[in-house]
Amino acid sequence: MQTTLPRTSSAPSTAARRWALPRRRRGVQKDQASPAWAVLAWVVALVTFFPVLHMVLTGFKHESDAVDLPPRLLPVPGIEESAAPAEGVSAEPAADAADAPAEATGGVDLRFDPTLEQYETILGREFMPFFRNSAFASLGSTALVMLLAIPAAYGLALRPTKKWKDVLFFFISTRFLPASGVIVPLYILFSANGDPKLGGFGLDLLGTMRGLIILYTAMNLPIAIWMLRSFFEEVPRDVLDAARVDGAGVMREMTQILLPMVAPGIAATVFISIIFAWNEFFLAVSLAAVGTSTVPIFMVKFVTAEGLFWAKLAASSTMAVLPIVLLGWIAQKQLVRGLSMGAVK
Amino acid sequence: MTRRILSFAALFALLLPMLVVAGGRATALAQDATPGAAGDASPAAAPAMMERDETISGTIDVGMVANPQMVALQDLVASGAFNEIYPNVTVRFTVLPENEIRQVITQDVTTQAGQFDVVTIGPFEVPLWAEEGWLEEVGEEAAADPNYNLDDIFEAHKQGLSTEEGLFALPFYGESSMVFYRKDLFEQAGIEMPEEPTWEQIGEFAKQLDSEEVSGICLRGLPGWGEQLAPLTTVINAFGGRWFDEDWNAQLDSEQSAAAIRFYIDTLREYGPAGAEGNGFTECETLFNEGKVAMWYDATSAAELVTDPELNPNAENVGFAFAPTQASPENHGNWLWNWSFAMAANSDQKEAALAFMKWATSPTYFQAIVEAEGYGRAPTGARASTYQDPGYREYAGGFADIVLQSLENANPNEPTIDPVPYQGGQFVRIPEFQQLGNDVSQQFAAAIVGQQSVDDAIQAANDMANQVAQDNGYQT
Amino acid sequence: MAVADRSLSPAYGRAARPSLFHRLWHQPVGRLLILPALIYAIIVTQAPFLLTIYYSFQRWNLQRPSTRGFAGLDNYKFLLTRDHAFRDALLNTAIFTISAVLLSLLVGLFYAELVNHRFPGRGVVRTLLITPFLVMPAAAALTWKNMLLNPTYGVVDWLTRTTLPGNPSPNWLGVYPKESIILVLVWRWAPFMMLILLAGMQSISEEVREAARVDGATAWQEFRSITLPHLSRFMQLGGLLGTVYIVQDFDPIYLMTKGGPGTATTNLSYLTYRKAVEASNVGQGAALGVIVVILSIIVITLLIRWLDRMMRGT
Repeated sequence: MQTTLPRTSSAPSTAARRWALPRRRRGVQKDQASPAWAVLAWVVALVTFFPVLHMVLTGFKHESDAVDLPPRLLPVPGIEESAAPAEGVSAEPAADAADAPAEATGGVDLRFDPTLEQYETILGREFMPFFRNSAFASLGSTALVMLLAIPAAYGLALRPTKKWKDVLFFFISTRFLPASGVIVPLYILFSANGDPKLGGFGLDLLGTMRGLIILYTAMNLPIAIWMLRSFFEEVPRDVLDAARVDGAGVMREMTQILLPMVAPGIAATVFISIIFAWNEFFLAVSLAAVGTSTVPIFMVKFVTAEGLFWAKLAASSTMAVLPIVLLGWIAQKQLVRGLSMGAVK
Repeated sequence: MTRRILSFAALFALLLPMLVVAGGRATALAQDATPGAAGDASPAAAPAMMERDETISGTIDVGMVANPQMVALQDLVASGAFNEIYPNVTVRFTVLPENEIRQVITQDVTTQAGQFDVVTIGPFEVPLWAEEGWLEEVGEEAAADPNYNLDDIFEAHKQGLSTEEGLFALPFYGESSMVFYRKDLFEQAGIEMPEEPTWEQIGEFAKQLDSEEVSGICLRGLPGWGEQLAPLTTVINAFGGRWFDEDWNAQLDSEQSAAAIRFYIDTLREYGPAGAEGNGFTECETLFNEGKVAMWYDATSAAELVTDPELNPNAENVGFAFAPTQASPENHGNWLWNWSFAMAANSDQKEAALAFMKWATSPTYFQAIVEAEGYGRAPTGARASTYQDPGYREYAGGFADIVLQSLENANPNEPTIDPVPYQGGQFVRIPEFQQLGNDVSQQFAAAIVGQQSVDDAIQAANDMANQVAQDNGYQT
Repeated sequence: MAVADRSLSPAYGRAARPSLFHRLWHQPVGRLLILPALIYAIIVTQAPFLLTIYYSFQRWNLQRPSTRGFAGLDNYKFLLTRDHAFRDALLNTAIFTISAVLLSLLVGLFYAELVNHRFPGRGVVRTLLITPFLVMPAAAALTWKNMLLNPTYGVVDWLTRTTLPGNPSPNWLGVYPKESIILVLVWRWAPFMMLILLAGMQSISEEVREAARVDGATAWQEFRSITLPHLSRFMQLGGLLGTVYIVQDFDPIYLMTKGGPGTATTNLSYLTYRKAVEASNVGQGAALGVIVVILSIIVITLLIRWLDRMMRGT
């Protein structure tokens, strides 16, 4: 395929070449940065990452260690004898530990005795249904998004109408209404009875997976179309024309020629869509809390009136973010490529 | 390649503990399975009071606020205690923090969407919603059941949950307000807390106890009609102030109300913990239990939390006093709240819903939860019999009598010294109060932070209150 | 190119003329492919929007159904002429959006430049840097509020208290509420900008860089004269997408400051929540929602036009 790539105008070709010849870029030696650069980069990265690290570590602490300052950052199993109080030990040492910040000028102890008690409590509260609901909602809506967005983006890339930019803008504009502004109308529309003054027409979608998937699809459709269209635009016109001259049908054109070329872009779009759906909080709480609770709802449950249990909250937050963070880490290269495509044209 | 290895190493470092947890979970589950037998045994005493009923069947959806007492209820139902008595009723819970559950319940009930059969609400909503026809009368059936003993429930609670049509909710647990303080710190400072302090004294104590490490007093500063304005409104009541006069003219800038608001905000600014405008019930409780504040004025339901040694290392040093008075020794602010179970009028599972509501608010439940989790998780403050229970009296020796008297004396129907056209001790029972209260409390929060002067905040709040009264046809 | 101002109206559904089937059949294939997504978006987003418009002309407090009725323009009049909170929220939204988008771009550019050079552990650094974008905003907000910015238990507070001269111990969320919200927004969106800009940097041909280096260009000169110009389109994309999302931002404000103290951090999204949900005032909430849509269309249209002109300039 690479050999037939024609030199089109300016910018797009570089990007197109990047998919076609991934090896080449890797082969080029970049400048080796100075050690100072490396140190700077590491410091910046650790500072940026610190909130997440702090959250994850706190989830493995006893509650009494969780509020200590300076934060205890070093998990050292089995040190409860020396400094950190463990469960079961009388309340006295816990009080000392709580007073620690006041006397922090003395020896600073950054160690803590890691524990799984928070996770045991949390998992004792039935985490799996929430996880399953989040997974269904994210994957289901993403599948539907792709089903709608791929043809639409391709269609837009062909520029079938002079108003194609308006169409694109319309999709983006569907995101302008704040969720909080539409929530009551949505609630009424989703309820079984609807608004009696408007004939009582309701969809009976409250608390259902269907309802959540429908909304998340609408939520992610604009950015998916936006991203995918840019990818399709990347495909050189000649390739499309050639396919058409060959008498290939639209379907063949899409599945056999286009899709493989834009696969990285599709992957990136899929990831973005999953990330936004998984992390969505407000619609889930408002419309699906009864019956189809997702992971964010599980998490806020631990913000209770019982007291602020940082460790428990941190552990539940960690559980909530973990799947997506891991997915994002694995998919970061696709994300890097995918997100930037919109800039090319 | 090293990069890849490094990232995976980092990934595994994070994942490993999770895997261990997953392993631990398996054993935890196995352990959960065995106490089932014990769970069968524990409610054995229950049928003596409530009889097994197989005739009632159905599935009900219950929306509850995620307070510890409700979580305990959820756990007990999950352990099978409820189905011991009603084997054919399935209960599905939706448990969320107060803010979120309030939103969901309010939308569900007011739009008549019918997701819930039973919801936890309080005396603010019940009479308003009952008058709209959204709630089902439950008093008649509850009174007819001798095992339920409706007379045992505090009269003030029942009044707050009633309209002329009857009783529309059954209280699960109730609360008035009181002062919690650290006896050891008072001793160190050489001062003594009277059993019935005045706000002036409290302010003086706060000044004396305030130090680098420990703040004088925690009061709720977190905006919200149910947060900051609950204690603040009772202080206004105690100072002889009021929200509105009989003609619905706003009275927040009256001499007494303004003095109360000024006192509240100035005390917080000078002797309160840092970030007072972000402290609600939960935050204050944490600060008190962590030993960061010497006094705390809040709901009586906090008593069980501050005396729990697992939550508060200084549990044995906690002292209690009545809600302070100021203008009159009779007016302690009249805080009265309860979380109650109400039934949606459009429920199609009314029999099962009523069975659940009655069970959860019955002496049978109290006994079952005490056996399962101890007194700390039991719903209190709703029934007089709780305060005759010898076990509870022993457990709550330090505060049981203060709570009991406070509950008996609180009079939300006449909350203020001067007459008012509204009801409610720590709120004004009009539908618009949620918005008004939230807006007003934001103004006060800005004053606590120092963004604006207290007087400007009072003026702005008063204007807002007048606006609401005008716009909604209260003022004629 | 013309970005039409009528884009939002359901005018696109106007194909509903008698000859619908006939017309569809003779559409170019591209248009047919767009149709499913278009129809889906119109039905799912415009149906609730129409309902919102309808409610914006109603006087309706959910808790007082008896007073419900036609309100004409009262809700709009109230918001636009009498509501101080609305003006504050409008201003706050502008402050949050402009500063968070620009700072995110700047910080994202810095991140991207950092990892665009080779050094040991570069992959791990990049991984750590993108993480804030992946973390659920609700979880991040709770962590920031309770464990980092809390005046008693927060790490940030502790750091300034122990390391800065004068031991300042500001109550971040109380005294610097806007700055705190912007900090959290930038923390989350800078990685997103980095993702976009990084690909832009990687698409700069090595030959050009090499040539510059051979000519003795310093790293800064190379960055200024090669990297930056090349990145302008990528920055425009980032700015546009960032604006669309940050204008709507809700979770951190809801979970960290509740819009306060006072109205210091109430943006339009949160104000809408307070009216429509907390206060059960459906009419005002809906009117506010409609106003936000109109404002967004105007602002984003102008932004796109402006970017377009800039792009043609280059």
